[in-house]
Order: sequence, then structure tokens, then C-alpha cells
Amino acid sequence: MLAALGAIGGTALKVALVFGILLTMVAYLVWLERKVLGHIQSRRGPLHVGPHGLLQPLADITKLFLKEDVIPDGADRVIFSLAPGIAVASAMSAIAVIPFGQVVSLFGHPIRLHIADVDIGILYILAVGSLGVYGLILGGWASNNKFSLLGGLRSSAQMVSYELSLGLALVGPLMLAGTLRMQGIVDAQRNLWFICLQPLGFIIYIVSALAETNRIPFDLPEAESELVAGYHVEYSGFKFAFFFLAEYVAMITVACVATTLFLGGYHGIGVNAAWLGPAWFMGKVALLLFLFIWIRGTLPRFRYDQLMQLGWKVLLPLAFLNVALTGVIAIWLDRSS
Amino acid sequence: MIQPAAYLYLAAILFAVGLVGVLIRREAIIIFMCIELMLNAVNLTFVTFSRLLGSIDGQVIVFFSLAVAAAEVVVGLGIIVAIFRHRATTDVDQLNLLKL
Amino acid sequence: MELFMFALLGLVSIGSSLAMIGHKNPVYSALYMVVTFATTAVMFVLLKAPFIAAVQIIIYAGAVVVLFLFVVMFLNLKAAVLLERRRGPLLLAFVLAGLVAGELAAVVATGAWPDTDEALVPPGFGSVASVATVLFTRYLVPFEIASIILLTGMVGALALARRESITPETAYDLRGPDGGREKPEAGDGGGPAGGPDASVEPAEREPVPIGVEVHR
Repeated sequence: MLAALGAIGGTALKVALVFGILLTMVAYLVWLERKVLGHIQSRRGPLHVGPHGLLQPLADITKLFLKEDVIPDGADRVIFSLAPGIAVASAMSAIAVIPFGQVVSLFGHPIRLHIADVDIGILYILAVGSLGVYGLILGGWASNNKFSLLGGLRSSAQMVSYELSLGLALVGPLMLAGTLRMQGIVDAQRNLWFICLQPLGFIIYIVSALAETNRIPFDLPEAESELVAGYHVEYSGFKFAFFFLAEYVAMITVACVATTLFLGGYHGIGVNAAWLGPAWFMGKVALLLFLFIWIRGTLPRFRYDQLMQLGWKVLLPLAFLNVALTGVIAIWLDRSS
Repeated sequence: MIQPAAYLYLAAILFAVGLVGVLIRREAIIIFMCIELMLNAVNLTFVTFSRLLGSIDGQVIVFFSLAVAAAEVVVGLGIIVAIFRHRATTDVDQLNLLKL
Repeated sequence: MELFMFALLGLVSIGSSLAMIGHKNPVYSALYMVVTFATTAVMFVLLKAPFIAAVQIIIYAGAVVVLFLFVVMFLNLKAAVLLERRRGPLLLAFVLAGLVAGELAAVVATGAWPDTDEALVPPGFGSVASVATVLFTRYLVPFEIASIILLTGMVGALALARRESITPETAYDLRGPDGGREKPEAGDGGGPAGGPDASVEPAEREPVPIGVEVHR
């Protein structure tokens, strides 16, 4: 009984820690994005609030919390308030299975650096990721606004379409690792990261992930200049902050998943001397996030039909091809070895 | 493990609730949703028996049931949309084209 | 512990399914359906079927209900409760459902269920590997047939949802139901049931079979 309580307490502590780190990461991701976009656009980004604008996220959060919470007339109040919550919950739940480092021992107890290591690891992430569509649909519908509804439907159609190529791009590393457990996948990359064996899969995954999280160049349904910011046009203050948070947490989640499946997770030089695993992991995630922000600053936006064409006519066949090739090569190597 | 009968009772109740929904609601979409609820109850029964008998076949059957249910929903909703385009209603009492 | 979880999940699933069949707003019904499916998925985890639980969430909660919501929003279904109002059929429905539930409960009650012990299920039961092994060996043919069913479903949905591409001759008249009356019927108008019948009220126009493209 005490052991069970201890286990629950330990897990709760881990959850609180990961939650805290995640929120801080989101805040500074916003700062990083504004800085990097600023420098790409030959300006400096936030400068005044704290040194180099480092306290800008604090100011942003304070502003968003203090803004008036407007619920449009005729909007469905319950669902209007629920939609951002669903978006955030779905985005955050996926972090639960990601391994951040090797087993470390604290005061003699071995501590695993992940919240839960389920047997169906990557399938769990796909499952909770697919629940994120509800935030968009319900947010768009509950606003009692035609532009919102259209933006929400477009956005969710885009998300659902790219979930396919996302999932298929992940099948390649799964075949090479032979397991769905995240820890197992990381262990299988001890010697060689999967990005070397699955370059096409990595590219498909990155493109699909950008479309899944509604990032530029795929942010047509929610950009301010298109359809009046789509499904979150009627949101302000706290609820908008949640949508904002959901988008950035989703970005961090896909970066973490890409790191775990393609970039070797927490493996790196000297990782066997514990505590270095999380550092390597964070470094790789930061690299991917920088890549996302860089893409945002560089590429123009896709039109909606171009977007859907890319998803269905280019990425999906390529993903199938990748799966077939990986399977053939894996079996061929298996037979010949 | 608790008595497997508990899961089976629950599945029976869910099935009955879905049945009531099919019988008393008149919108085609809600009826469809209740049919999915009944399928869900049956899936629960299958998985319970799979656990009870230690045979993985029950879970495989549920897998196929899920796949077929997905295909059925796709086609069924397509039919409902096509009907709605012509009749502007989903009230099944009014979808009586075969009636004299 | 499992008893507590099962009691909680059971109550939530029954409550949400009742709310689903009773609520007048179809969007709320769909959301309650998601809750029901989610509780079922957690029950699958309790029953040592984690793979099926994940697949249930991905397919049912993540795709089927999204489809339902799409259709509800496209068709702009209002929150009108179309409920059987006459007391006779209403009572009959409950009685029938009660009979079915009672019959199932009787079957369950008369069964001699053994106390399931952990030794009956091998370790790794319900894991992805165990399901996949059986799926690709003993159930290979049903697997392929299921994929063909899904393909057929996709093609069927596309065929049902298609409209003819809009050309100037076949453009839908956007002036509303009465606007079409003044427009001279071009080509084949009114559908195959009769010739161009511009004097008929659009609401009373002969209903055309499903799937036939109507050029108004």
C-alpha cells in the first residue's frame, strides 16, 4: 500500500515537474520565435522588457490574463469555453510517454525519466493527437460566426488529412526498432540515429507535423489575414491564451516525438554518465524548434487546395512508398544477415 | 480482477440504451450514433470474453469490428448527406419514398 | 482499485450514453458519444487490451465522431428534438429495450463465470505484438478483406458526395427556391421524373432518387 502510494506520489511529482518545465518552455519558445523572426526580418524583436526582452513572455501572459473575456452573443457557452481546454489537454497529454533520459538514481532509488512507459507508446501519442481536432471544430462552431465555422472546418480537415502521412511516416522507424515503446525505440538508436536510415520519413514527418500544428506554411485556417484568423477569431483573453498555448505545446510535442524517433532521443556523446541525457534531448528539441521557426520566417503560405493536394497526392503516396521500401530493405537485410 | 459479469452487465445496459435511442429519436444522424453505441457495447463484450478466456481472438474480432464500423459510418453519413441534399430533412419519418 | 475504476467508468459511460440519446443538440450528442467511447477505451485497458484501446480512440473518438460533427455542421442541423411524442411507442421502446437488457442479463446471470486469475492470460497478452502475430497469420485473409472494405467505403463516400462540376448551364440558382422559376430550363431540367416543370413549387417537386444529379 505504501509502495503504491509512493509510486503515485512519484508519478505526480514527475507530472508536476514536466508540466512546469513545459510551460516555461512554451513561454520562452514564444520569446525565441519573436526574436528569431525579428532577426530574419532584419529587426531586433522584443528588446525592452528585461534584458534582450527575456521578460516579454511574462508581460504577454499578464496581458492575456487581464484581457476581458468576451463570449459572443448566441455562442454556445459551454462548448465555447470547453474547446480551448480540449486543445490544450490533448496537446499536453502526449508528453506523458516521451523518455527524457536514461535511468538515473536519486538517493539510491532508480528513477526513470519518463512519466509512463506504455507498451503502445507511439500509438498513444497518435491517439491523443487525434483528439486535438475537437478543439478546432468545437471552437469554430461554438463561436456563432460564419468565418469561425469555415476556418474551424478547414483547419480540422487539414489536421485529419495530415494525420495520415504523419502516422505512416512514423511506421518506418517503428519497423526498424521493432517495438512501439518509446523507450525501446530510443534504445534501438544506440548506434545509429534513425534519421540516417529514414531521411524520407523524417522529411515527411516534419512537413506533416508543420501541417498538423497549423504552422506556417500551412497556417491558412488560422492566420490573421485569412478568414479573419479562422477558428479563434472570437476568442480573447484567457481562452485565446489556451489556444495559443495549445499550438506551442503541440509544436514542442511533435519536436519531442521527432527527436525520439529520428534523432536518437537522449543519446549522445557521454550520455552514459547520467543527467546528460536530458541535456542532449533538450538540445535536439531546441534545434528542431529553431528549424520550425526558421521555416516560419522564410516560406510563404500555402493556399488551401494546394495544401490538401500536397497532403493527399504527394505526402501520402511518398509515405506509403517509404513504408514499403523500409519493409523490403529490412526483410532483405534480415535474410542476408 | 473483478467479476467479468460486471463488464457484461454494463455492455448489456449500454446496448439497451443504444436501442432506446434508435427507437425513440427521429433524426437520422442520432439514430446512426446510437447504432455506433450498440456496436461499442458489443466490442466491450468481445474484449471481456477475450480476457476471460485468455484468447486473443476476441481482440482481433474487435479490431475488425472497428474497421468495418468506420467504413460503415463513412458510407452511412454519405447517404445521409445525399438524402439531405434532396429532401432538406433528416427526419426519418419523412423519408418514406417507398410509401404509397 | 480496479473495482473503483470500473464503478466510476461504468457510471460515467451510462450517464453519458443516456445524455447522448436524450440531448436535443446533435453536437452535444456527439460530444457525449466521445465520452462514452473514451470510457470504453479505458475499460479496454483494464481488460488488458491496450492496443484495442488505442485503436478505439484513434478510430472512434478521433475519426468517426469527427465525421459525425462534420456532417452535423455541414448540414447545419438545428437543435430540434425530433422525439417520438406519442406515449404508446415511447413506452414500447423502453419496454423493448428493457426486455433485451433483461434477456442479456439473464444469460449472463446463468453463466458460471470462473474467477479470472492472472495465470489464465499469458504475459504480454493484449500487447501489440500478440495481436499483430495473430492478425497477420491466422486472420490474414480477413485483414485483407477489411482493407478492401475500407477502400470500398472510401470510394462509395466519394461517389455519394460528388456533385457535377458547375458550368454556366448547370449552376445552381443562387436566388433562392423561387428564383429558379423564372429561369428558362436549359438542357435537362427537373430531373428524369418529368420534363421541365417550371410551374411546380420547388417544395412539391417530384423527389428524385438518391444519387441522381439534379440540374436545377
